[in-house]
Amino acid sequence: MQPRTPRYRPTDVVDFIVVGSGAAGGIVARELSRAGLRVVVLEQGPYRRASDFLPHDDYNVFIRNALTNDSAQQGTTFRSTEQDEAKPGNPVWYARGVGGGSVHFTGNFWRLHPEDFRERTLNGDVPGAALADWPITYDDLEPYYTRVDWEIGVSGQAGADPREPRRSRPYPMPPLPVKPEGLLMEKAARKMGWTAFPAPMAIASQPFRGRAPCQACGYCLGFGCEFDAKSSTLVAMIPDAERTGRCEIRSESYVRKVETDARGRVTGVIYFDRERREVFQRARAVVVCANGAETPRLLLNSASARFPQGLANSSGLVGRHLMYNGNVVAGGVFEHETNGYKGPVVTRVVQDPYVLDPKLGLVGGGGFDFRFDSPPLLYAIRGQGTAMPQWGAGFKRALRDFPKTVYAYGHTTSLPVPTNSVSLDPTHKDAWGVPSMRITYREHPNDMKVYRWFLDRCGDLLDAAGALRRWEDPINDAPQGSPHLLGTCRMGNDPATSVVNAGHRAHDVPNLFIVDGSSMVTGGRGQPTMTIMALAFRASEGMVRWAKRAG
Amino acid sequence: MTVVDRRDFLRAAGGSAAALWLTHWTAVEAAAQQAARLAASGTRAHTWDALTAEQAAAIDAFAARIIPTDDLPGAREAGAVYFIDKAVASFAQELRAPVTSLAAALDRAAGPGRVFAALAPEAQDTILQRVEKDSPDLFGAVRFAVICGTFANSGWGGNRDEAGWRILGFEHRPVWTKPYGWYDLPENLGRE
Ligand SMILES: Cc1cc2nc3c(=O)[nH]c(=O)nc-3n(C[C@H](O)[C@H](O)[C@H](O)COP(=O)(O)OP(=O)(O)OC[C@H]3O[C@@H](n4cnc5c(N)ncnc54)[C@H](O)[C@@H]3O)c2cc1C
Repeated sequence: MQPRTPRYRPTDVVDFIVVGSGAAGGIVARELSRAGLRVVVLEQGPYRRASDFLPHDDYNVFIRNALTNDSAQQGTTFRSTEQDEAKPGNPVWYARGVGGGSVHFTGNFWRLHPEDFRERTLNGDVPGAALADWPITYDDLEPYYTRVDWEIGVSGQAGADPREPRRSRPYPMPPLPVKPEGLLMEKAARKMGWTAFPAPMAIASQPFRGRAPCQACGYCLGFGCEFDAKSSTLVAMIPDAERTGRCEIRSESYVRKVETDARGRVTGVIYFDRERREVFQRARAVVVCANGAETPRLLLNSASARFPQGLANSSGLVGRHLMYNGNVVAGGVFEHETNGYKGPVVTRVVQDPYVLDPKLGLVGGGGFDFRFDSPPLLYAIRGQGTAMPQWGAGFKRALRDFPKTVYAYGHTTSLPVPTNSVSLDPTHKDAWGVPSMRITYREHPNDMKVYRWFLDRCGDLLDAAGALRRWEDPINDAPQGSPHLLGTCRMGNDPATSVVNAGHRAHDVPNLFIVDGSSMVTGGRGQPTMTIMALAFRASEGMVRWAKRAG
Repeated sequence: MTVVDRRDFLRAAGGSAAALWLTHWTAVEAAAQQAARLAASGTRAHTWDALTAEQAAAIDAFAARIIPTDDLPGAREAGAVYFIDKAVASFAQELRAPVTSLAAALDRAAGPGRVFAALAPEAQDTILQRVEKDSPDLFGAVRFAVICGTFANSGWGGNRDEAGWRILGFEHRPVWTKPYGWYDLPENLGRE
């Protein structure tokens, strides 16, 4: 049964506006409305239901960007350094729609480890990077990781990871059934003296809170789940929020500016409705959860006489320290069928080099998975990277390797570099006439070496697993279409060196909160969304306390 | 999937989740039928939406060299050219310029009084090599369209009878159960 949801008028002063309904925004909406607060969620993308994710259609999803941002329409530009002129490009990749990136993501769900919160203390000053400790510790966040496990729905096996950080409760669901690639990874890890353990995944392996478990359809990375088995905020949080009768999800509502008054307080936001009419929605407070790329863009586009550098930007750090995480890929062909196109993408991971051996002289670390993530069309386009003949009999032969192909992925740190950033393009505008996002990104030299080390080990793992032949994707300095968008409104205790405080409130604006990928001080080892969700649960508690105090 | 499988699944999934899944199943089935109807609608006497018959012949011959036919179907059997025609006419009009100029270039390269489509495969391949070298962007754009027409869902106009998917050894089913492949067959578990 469809719950009755309120329709607020723009002139109603609601308690909170939440901008963006993704991994963080979906949780914030649910937590605030369950606490008795009146909430309007403004989401630029559409409100899709499970049946909208059929038919499985890789052309629509990957070539026509059916679920994702469209760089051409949005006028997004890219340059590698501040000296270069930015050109139209496709640097970032995120989902538009209720549930945001939690709808179409792969579901790899790694907690950070205690050392991720203390990178500055552990590594000292790294030239060219602005490493900093978080204002909170792993122990501060642990209860919220546990809430994510149990309220969002995570499958996994406690105790299987030899490096597992402390957890206060086991997983609510057992791991997903191991795939052939997972078995090959176990074999490879054994040979290398490493441990392959069941991947923690935001996918139900059993019936969970009224949702069906994974049916192994194989259309996961980039797709929404027609069974509601993937633990997105669309299925795990938004229905709870609507059930309160206090939360309105207003989809196809694109926020262009957060408005402030002469006292420097937020009064509401201006957005375009689906007919592209401008609407001003009032609120007592605003939470921006628009992701690590769109959040800084919105704040910069919210400049005013009082905040000439952009909102919440007295530090000048809004948009800076953009981190993508390193992501390297090798592929191999095996003797027998793995049929990776059946089932979820990943079932086994290795995290032995979570912190690289100090003898290597590199800062960082990461982990690996063995996976298959290329539905038919993607395989034909780039299934064997540059190793693939382009046409003719050779191409045809390569295509036949489809059911025997396995990818080894390395997921790593990337350092927070101040010049890697989201800023406003001085000339390009999007289809609504709003200044476009300009990405400036160049990998730190340390990170290029970290990526190389991980890619070499990807090759070793494939060899140890018995690949008949293998190839590697080249390491790009600043890849296009990056799916991890982190660090651009970092949290911290000092208003001079951070944008939000440990409670995710903007240092400069008393009734503005920011929580999403932009909050992360360092980027972890490559699967940020579990942490983004834990931060959202934690931040929501603080917002509720704040709202009650403020009356 | 048979009715028996479905019942098994419902038992495994349990109460409310199963009911929820059933509504989705209707959508799965509807989508599958729609795809089948579209695949069956192709006829031999084709009226092209955007291409001339000559252009269609050249592009079809080009497609057949990108993914040639052997014991398995190729881009020709998949009907990549039908996808391209539809794309140019409606959902990917940016392809019109590259498709028409490539078709013209191929026929020009075939020599006076001849058309590319009528050349022997070896002669066609020689021309492809030259175009790939001299006009990589043009070649790449139409090659990409051939790939989309071979492997994208048949609803887009190509991949007829799932010919493209048969090349890969890919089978589409709404639901899979283990074992998925060779390595997780019970008799192969634990082999090093
Ligand atoms: C293909 C793919 C696979 C991925 N796989 C994984 C994985 O396995 N593990 C992992 O940890 N992460 C994965 N990610 C990354 C994951 O999706 C993101 O980390 C996560 O969704 C970010 O959460 P967020 O809350 O910061 O923002 P998002 O989830 O991106 O939510 C932001 C929302 O705000 C909306 N919005 C933006 N601007 C505006 C505006 N101006 N007005 C109104 N609405 C706006 C957007 O439309 C979006 O819905 C993947 C990403 C992609 C693209």
